[in-house]
This record gives sequence, structure tokens and C-alpha cells, in this order.
Amino acid sequence: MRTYVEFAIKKFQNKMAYRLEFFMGIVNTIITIVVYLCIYKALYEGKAEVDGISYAMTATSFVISLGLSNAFHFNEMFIQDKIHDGSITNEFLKPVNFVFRLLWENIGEGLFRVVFNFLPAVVFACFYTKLCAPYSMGNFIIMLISVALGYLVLWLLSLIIQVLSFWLFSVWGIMTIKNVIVNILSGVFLPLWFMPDIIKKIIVFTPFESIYFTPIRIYLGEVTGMEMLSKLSLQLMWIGILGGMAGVLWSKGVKKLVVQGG
Amino acid sequence: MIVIKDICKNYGEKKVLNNVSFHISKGERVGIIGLNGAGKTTLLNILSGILQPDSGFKRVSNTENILEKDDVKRDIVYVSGTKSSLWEDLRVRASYENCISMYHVDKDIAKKRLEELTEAFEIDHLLNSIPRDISLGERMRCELVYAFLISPKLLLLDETMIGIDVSIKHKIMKWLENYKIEDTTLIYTSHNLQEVEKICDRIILLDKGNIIFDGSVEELLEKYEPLYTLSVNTKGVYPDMEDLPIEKINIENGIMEIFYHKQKIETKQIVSHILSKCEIYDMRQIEPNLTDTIKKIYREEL
Repeated sequence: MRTYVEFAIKKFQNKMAYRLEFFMGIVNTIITIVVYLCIYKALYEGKAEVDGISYAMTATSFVISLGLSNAFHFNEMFIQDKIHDGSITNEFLKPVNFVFRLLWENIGEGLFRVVFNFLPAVVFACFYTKLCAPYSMGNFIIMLISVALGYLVLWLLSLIIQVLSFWLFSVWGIMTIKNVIVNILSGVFLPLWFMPDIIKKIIVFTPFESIYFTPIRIYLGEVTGMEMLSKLSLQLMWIGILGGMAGVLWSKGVKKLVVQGG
Repeated sequence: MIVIKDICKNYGEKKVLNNVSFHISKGERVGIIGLNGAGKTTLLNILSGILQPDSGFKRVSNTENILEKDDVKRDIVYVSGTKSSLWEDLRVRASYENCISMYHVDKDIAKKRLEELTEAFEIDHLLNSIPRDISLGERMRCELVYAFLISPKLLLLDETMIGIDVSIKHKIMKWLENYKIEDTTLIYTSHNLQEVEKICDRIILLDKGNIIFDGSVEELLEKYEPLYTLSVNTKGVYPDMEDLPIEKINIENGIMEIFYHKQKIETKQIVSHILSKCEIYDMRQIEPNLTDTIKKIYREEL
């Protein structure tokens, strides 16, 4: 475990070396927050609530989901590139679990973005507009657990598509489609409250709600008690399903590479 | 350490390895030689576990499936001219730190070893570079340091000298020669036979997926009876050599080149014979090397 944590620390430290990228990341996040909050303000047209959702709730939802999408920012073509240049087999020879290593390195990179890009932008957003405080300290702590589970759901979705590189020459197109679908159906840019009822009914049967929207609802106190537990269970269920799929695909992909030689 | 029995590997219709069998003991230094497409890299890939043979038996470090055992993987390092072990986006130093952590190398030992290797492989100026920003030769030096940092029990080196400057290559070769004292089994492939001759005690010669020779360098030279050459300047006087068991004589620019097998006649017998007929003004003996022998094998024997 210590080795994996060291992998994450190395990636975190590595990111710190790129000062320009670091400052541009903050600027980029602030611009994104300002632009979207302006759009939401215009859509609210001075009304206190739309469909029972206040502007502050919408703004908070957007800021949190932006923070999470910042955490989920890494090279999704990693496995494909490693297969193309042939170095994937050298990775298999390293005495660590490749998938766990990838996860921890991605967490290291994501944490850097959260700490150095997202948090400064949140401080700015607090001065710029009113955001909701957490419903309670308990909800805030459980939200952090839910964030970790949501991250795993999103990471596993990405891993499944990355692993398809064992069979496909390029997964770039599929990855782009996945990212568009995730951005729309998980409520990054438009909170799921405002989605048409038919879409909301479909989303319930997909893992997308578990990514950003569940932690946001827990933070805002929209779900409490048993409902909160059921939402966390749903996140765990999706991790199990997606983890199982990724595991089967990964084993088959590695076997294909080792038997056929690429 | 390594047992390979009747290994076969095909890529589609092409037979790459055909019933290859050998045994390598702990601490042996084996050179695998062959022309392009002979099956050298395929053989190393199979030994490392990253490629599965179509048939046959393989056991490395008492394990048949290396990829499933992290403790066995900790004993094996595979450095290839075409595959990188370094982290592409991290500084070289950070890759080494990851390596030390992964392979559970004691930090004090690793620090000392890194200092020695940094000096030996002249990579001090590269430690803070990103691998993708450095040249192929520099990168290969960094890859070799990564391998020796671990001090593995089995070291597989596949064409690792590509792109390395002659002066640094010479230094690395010296270092590899001295590495003989370590308790590491080394398997080395290269197109440069002089390198193989210097580093390895045993040679496996591959041709079209078959082993055509497996033995020591001396045995190889002996088996294929390479020709020695004696170059003699007799200032235009060419004595009759017909009574001697000489293979061939060339005369060019007043220099007589005599080709012979040491098994048939000693050099001093030839020299005495010439001196009994005329004076010798200059003389040079050229011993056969591995390169010539291998060339001969591929050109004549096959």
C-alpha cells in the first residue's frame, strides 16, 4: 500500500513542477465558474427558485461538480499509448498491480488539481456569489465518502474504455462520446433537477447519477437517513458492477497480449 | 534458474521458435545471437513471462507463470531497446525512487548504488530530465541504471546499447564485465558480437527459430575451426609453402597473408619455415574473433 501512496505523491509533486500550467489551471477554473454562474443567474431571471431549487443550490451544485471533474483529470489514453509503443508489457513486469498503480497515480494528479486549481477557485467563487453551506457536519463527512465512491465509478468507466485498446486501434472516439455523455447525464453543467422527467427516469438505471449528483445531494441535505444509505449502496453497487466488468476485460486483454504477443 | 524445453512459438504461419530447449544455471552469463528474425527477442519475451509459448515447458526461478507472482517479478529485470521501464512523464530521479519503493530496495543501499551508477553511466545531468525529452542513447543509459539499481537475480538485456556513444559504451562494457562478480544471471542479446564475446561465457546461436549452437565461446571457436592469419613482409621474396598444411595464401602489395588452422599447424612452425627460406622484415598475427566465426557459420555452414 505504501508503494501505491508513494506513486500518488510522486505524481502530485511532478505536477507542482509545471508552474505555468498550475497558474493557468486556476485562471481556467475561475473563468469557468464565472461564465456558468452568469448563465445560471440569467436563467433564474431574478427568481428566488426554479422548480423548488434556489440559485444558491444550483451554484453550489455546479461548483462541487466542477471540483470533482477537476479531480478526475488525467491521461485517458495512457493504456492505449502504452499498447501502441509496446511498453505495456514492461509495466506487467513491475512487481505491483498495474491497475492499482494507475488508480493511485490518477488520484495523485487529481488531488493536485483539487488543492491547487479548484480550492483557490472556490475561495474566489465565495466572494463572487452566495454558496450553500453543508447541511450538517455529518452530511459533509458522508459527502466526502460519497465523493470517493463517485470518483471510483467515473474512474472505472474510463478504465473500461481504456482497456478496449487491447482490441481496438484507437479508443479516442469512444472516450470522447463517454465524456460527453458523462458531462450531460451526471449533471456537471446542468444539475439533474432540471432534466426532463423521462431523462431522469432513465438516469436512475445508469451509474451517472452516482458520480457527481449523489455527493451534491448529500452535501445539500436533500437526502438524509435511510435514503442516504441507499444512495451510498447504489454507488457501491455500481463500483461492483463496473469493477467486475473492468476486471474481466483487463484479464482477457492481458491474456490476449501475452498469448498473441500484441 | 531457467529451464526451457521444446518451446515453440508461431506468429500466424511464421515459425519463430521451433522446439527450443536449454538450461541456464544461476550466475551464468549467456549471449543469444542470431540474425534479424532469428527469434532472439521472442525468446527473451517468453523467458520474462510477457509472452506465452504455443507449446513446451518453461520454468524461471521455480515459477511457470512469472506475471502472477510479485516476489518473482522483484528478481527479474528486462531492459529492451524498444520498451521503456521509466515513467514517461516523471523526472528520471522520480522513476528511480518509484523503482526503489517497488522493488523494496533498502534506501541507504539504493542511495549508495545510485551514486555509483550515476557516475559509471554518466547520467548525473539527466536525473532531473523527463525521459521523453532526452536522446535514445541517454535514455538507454537511464534504463540500464534502473535495472542495476535493483540488483536483480535475472537480468535480461535486449539490444540495450543502441544509440549509445562509443566512449560511453566502452565504459558501460567495462562495468558489465566487472559485474561478473555479482550473483546475477545475465542473458544478453546484441548484434554486436564483440560485446557478447566480452560479457558472456556461453553462447546460444539461433537461426530461424532453431538453436544451432549452445556452448562456450571457446567451444564455438574450436568447433567451427576459424582461420588464423599471419601477415608477413618478406620484401618481395615468397618462400614455397606447399609442404605445410596451410589453407590459403594471399599476396598483396608485397605482403604475404597466410591463413591456417591452429589445430593443423602452430604459428611458430610457419615462422621457422619462412625464416629458413628468407628474412622477415615485419610480421603480424590476427586471431579469429567471434564475429568472423559467426559470419562463417551463417555464410558457409547453413
